[in-house]
Amino acid sequence: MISVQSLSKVYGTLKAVDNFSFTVNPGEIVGLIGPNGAGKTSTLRCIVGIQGPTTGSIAIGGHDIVKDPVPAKRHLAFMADEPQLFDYLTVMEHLRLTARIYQVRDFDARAKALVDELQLTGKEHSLPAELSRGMKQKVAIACGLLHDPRALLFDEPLTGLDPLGIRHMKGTIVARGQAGGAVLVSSHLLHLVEEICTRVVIINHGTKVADGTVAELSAQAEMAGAGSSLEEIFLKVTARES
Amino acid sequence: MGPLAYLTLCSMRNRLRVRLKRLREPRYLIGLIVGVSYFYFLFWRQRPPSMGAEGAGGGAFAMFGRGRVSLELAGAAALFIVAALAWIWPSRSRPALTFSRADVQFLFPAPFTRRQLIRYRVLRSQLGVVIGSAFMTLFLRPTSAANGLIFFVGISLIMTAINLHLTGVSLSRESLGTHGMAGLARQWLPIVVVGGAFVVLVGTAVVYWPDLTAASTGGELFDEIGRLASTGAAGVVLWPFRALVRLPLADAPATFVRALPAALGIVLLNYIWVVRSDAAFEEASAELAEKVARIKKGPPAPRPASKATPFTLALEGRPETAILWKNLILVGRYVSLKTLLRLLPGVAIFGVMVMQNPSRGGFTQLVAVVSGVMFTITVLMGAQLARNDLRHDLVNLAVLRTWPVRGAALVRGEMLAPAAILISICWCSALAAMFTAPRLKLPLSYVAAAVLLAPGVILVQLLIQNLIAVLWPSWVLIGAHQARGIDVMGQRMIMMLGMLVVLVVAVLPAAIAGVAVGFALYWSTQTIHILLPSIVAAIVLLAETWIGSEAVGKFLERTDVGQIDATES
Repeated sequence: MISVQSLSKVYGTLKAVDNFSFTVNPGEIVGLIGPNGAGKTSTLRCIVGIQGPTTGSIAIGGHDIVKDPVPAKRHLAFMADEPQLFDYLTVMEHLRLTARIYQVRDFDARAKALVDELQLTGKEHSLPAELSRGMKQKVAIACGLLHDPRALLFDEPLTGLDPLGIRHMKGTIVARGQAGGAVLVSSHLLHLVEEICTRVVIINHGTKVADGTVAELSAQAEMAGAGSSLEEIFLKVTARES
Repeated sequence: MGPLAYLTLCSMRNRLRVRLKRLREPRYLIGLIVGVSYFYFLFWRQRPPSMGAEGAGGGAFAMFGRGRVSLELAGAAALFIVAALAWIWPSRSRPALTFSRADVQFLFPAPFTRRQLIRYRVLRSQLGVVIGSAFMTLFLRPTSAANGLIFFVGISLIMTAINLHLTGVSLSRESLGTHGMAGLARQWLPIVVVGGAFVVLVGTAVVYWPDLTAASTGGELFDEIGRLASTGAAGVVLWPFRALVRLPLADAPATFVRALPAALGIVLLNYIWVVRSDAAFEEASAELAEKVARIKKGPPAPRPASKATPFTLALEGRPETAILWKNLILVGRYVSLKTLLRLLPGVAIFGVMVMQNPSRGGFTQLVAVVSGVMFTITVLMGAQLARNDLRHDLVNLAVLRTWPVRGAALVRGEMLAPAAILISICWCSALAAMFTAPRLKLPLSYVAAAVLLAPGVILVQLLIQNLIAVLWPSWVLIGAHQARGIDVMGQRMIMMLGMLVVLVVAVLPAAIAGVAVGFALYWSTQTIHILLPSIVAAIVLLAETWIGSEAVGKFLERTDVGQIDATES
């Protein structure tokens, strides 16, 4: 569903992502982890079409995000770490706008279900300025899930959420994966990745340094040793690369 | 050095450093050169060679000698209107008390009293006053160094007084709005003063209305107004304003020194008023107000969070309509009925002026002139003023880029909201002109041609503005943030010039097509046709806009989100 092939992204003289390839298949929840400045956000932004790759190709559901962006984006949802909402639209207006953009037919039922699921009840007519950061995050996620996307990208999805919100969010991500969605989660919270992801991709200095299930990675002696936690694997791998 | 003084000095020093550092970028350097050249030509190029002689040569200072009393009166009236409007139409930003987020995060929890913080913000806002006053002084080209200094200090004190007064008004209104009766008890004195001043001036105008209307010439009318403003209760009300205005208009250092104590006293009173609006008493008042409200009314009703949308967005259809809907909501949320009601006093004054005009022809002429001016300004300047398109939305480009919408559709959708507003204004103006046209012997075909051509011209300009925003996002004002400085002003001037050149080039094909059709019709019928050539020109303009939006859309799809920087200052 998400296919990244030989992706490179260069900003001026800085090579943020270098020949990075991986795939996310339907039903998979892949954790993308790496130290600060490793190239995670650049990769996510290239995948969703916010910025173009310098070289390489990205396909969503078989559609190239650069050459064929509109059909590719129809399958996508991107939940950024910093929720970006329109200051002057209420929660419900955000959902309605998203429904029109993505041509969602059964809007009322879906919107109600999402508002309930994300605990936004009572906030339907609030403007972003009247919402807490966590609530804004939930609105952005509701907009992302409204069109039932087949490829979902989460950048630090738990930021700003309260404990109950965290539990709900983890449930939401897992449910989308189990429903056949291809989910890519970028996070520094290794316990989250270990808990919900079916596979892990580690990126450092813009290049892929590990790819596999936690069990597969821990089994590789050069990484950490059998039975290691994701944290131990991560520290070992990134320290070795540094 | 106190921490707040340290913060102020470090901020100023580092801001200057940043401004100097950014000159390494050609766009800022070129902007600075253009901006400085503009000011050179504006201030010094036409300066008389002999600067020392009082009253010699041009400059507004030469005018002071000829009509100092009239200027003083007009200035006092203007100041009174500013002060009165501040009560009717208060600024939401509270001029001197706009704390930054960092201020709130660092200073509010710090061990400072609110009075200290208010004093800090008031004093910091003086930097803008000093710069503004310096520019005004240079602009008026003083005839001597003493004149320049007098004007600079005088205008600085006036601006300081205005700044303080507007801040005081904001605080008073906030106190009233938040604390109800407790706020009224706290702020009763300034409210009584303002209300009393208003009653006195309106009462004087009513009492002496026959004398004012009896004046046969403008000069006589002005003399009568001058007499009323200098004597009696109206003279007392206007005295503080005249005392302030007298300073920059002083013709000699001795006059200035004589006028200084009164002006300083007014500034000081405003300062005390602002600084005394501190938290301790107001918070106690708020508690009292809440207790009273609980006893009297029970829990307060929640305020509506938002208003109705301009229309209900259907769930199917072109994405352009969705973006139009979104951007029209933006306008609706900022222009409220309350805002429009605040314009009523102006409309009422205009109406009274019109009613006083005995000639119906005069009224028709007035409507024709107003609608003509409105139409022209909207067509020529509207696209620069109505910015609820990509210029506002580029800060959200990361979100827009994730939408499954072609770039061209995004561009067209973004242009639709300002276009709809501007075209509506134009057509309303044209409609008004149409009613007055027969009396003024204005051919209706001309009005129809204007109605037909306006949308195309507006759309082409909007397209150019959006093209500039997409191609050179760092050169235009993006979002609500506003970069400042002479270099930025120079950039704006270059962009304005570039836009005019592109506009001429864009309008040329339509003009050629219209003129060609006009000539062909004249050749065959020996009659000058206006309507059909206008229709052809309008079609060409609309076609150009459509084709252009496809091109701008392609650019938008390739725009790097990292280029959009809305936080420069």
